[in-house]
Amino acid sequence: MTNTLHRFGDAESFRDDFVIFAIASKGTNDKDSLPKLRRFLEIAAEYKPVNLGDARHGGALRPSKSMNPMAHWNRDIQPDFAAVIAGLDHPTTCAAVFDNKVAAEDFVSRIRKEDLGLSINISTSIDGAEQCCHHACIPRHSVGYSLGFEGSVEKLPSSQVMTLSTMCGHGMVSHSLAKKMVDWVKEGRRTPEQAVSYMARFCSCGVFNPARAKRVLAEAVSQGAISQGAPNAK
Amino acid sequence: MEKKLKTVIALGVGTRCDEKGEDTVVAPILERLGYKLERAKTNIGLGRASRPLETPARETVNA
Repeated sequence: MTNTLHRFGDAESFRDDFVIFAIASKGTNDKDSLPKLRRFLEIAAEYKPVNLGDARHGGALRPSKSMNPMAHWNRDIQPDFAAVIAGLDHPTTCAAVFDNKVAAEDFVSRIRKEDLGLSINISTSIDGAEQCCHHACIPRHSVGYSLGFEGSVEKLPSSQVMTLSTMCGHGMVSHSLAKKMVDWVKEGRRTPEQAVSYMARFCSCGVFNPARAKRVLAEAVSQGAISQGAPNAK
Repeated sequence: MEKKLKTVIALGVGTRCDEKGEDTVVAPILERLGYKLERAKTNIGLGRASRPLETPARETVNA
């Protein structure tokens, strides 16, 4: 599963998108990994992430089973990082999402000093990850490149919709929902913050980037673009 | 092949970096094929085995 590898966009569009993962390997270093993963999340919270999550419970904005239609107008849309840290109860993939390179670089340097022994991955532009490694004086171990989308790309929705929906690599932010959010924000029916919080709650592992999504929605409004048509997918 | 597909696929390629953290093998090939490399997942190599790796049991062939 490469749940953040194929985010849609060029390298420049990832200037506010740095996803940093920690994971233990079953049978290799998973013993006593739970406190280390929790430590990873605690440290990440110090560097002002825009999302924090684990693959079992989701991100800092989560769905609720006790809702009614009034929730659209009074729901708290502030991320709850403390709940993510407190809720981690099993070794799993943990992720921290940052919207700026400085925070990502400082966090990677700190994680290196903490020496948790967990596998750490950075998912962002190739240059962005290289700069994080350079800042922390770490040579890259290995790289998994995204080569983009191919085939019948004319069937894909607009680049704005693709940018939003591929921020959940598990496919939990559907094209239709993303398109609806773009349209609602353009029509003034929801603020970008509200629309972003709707989408983020569907992401099951907490890697959705609310800051980048908000920028995309703001750009959609300013461009007045129609949310239909095929993107330049490759 | 991708031009014949009636669906959409996402392609990815992974490789090990050298001791300096450089990929001098796969990236040049991909660029030569026309791919513009924009995004990647980068493993920074901090993982460490905390328990001894088990050695597979030896089996005698044709015993």
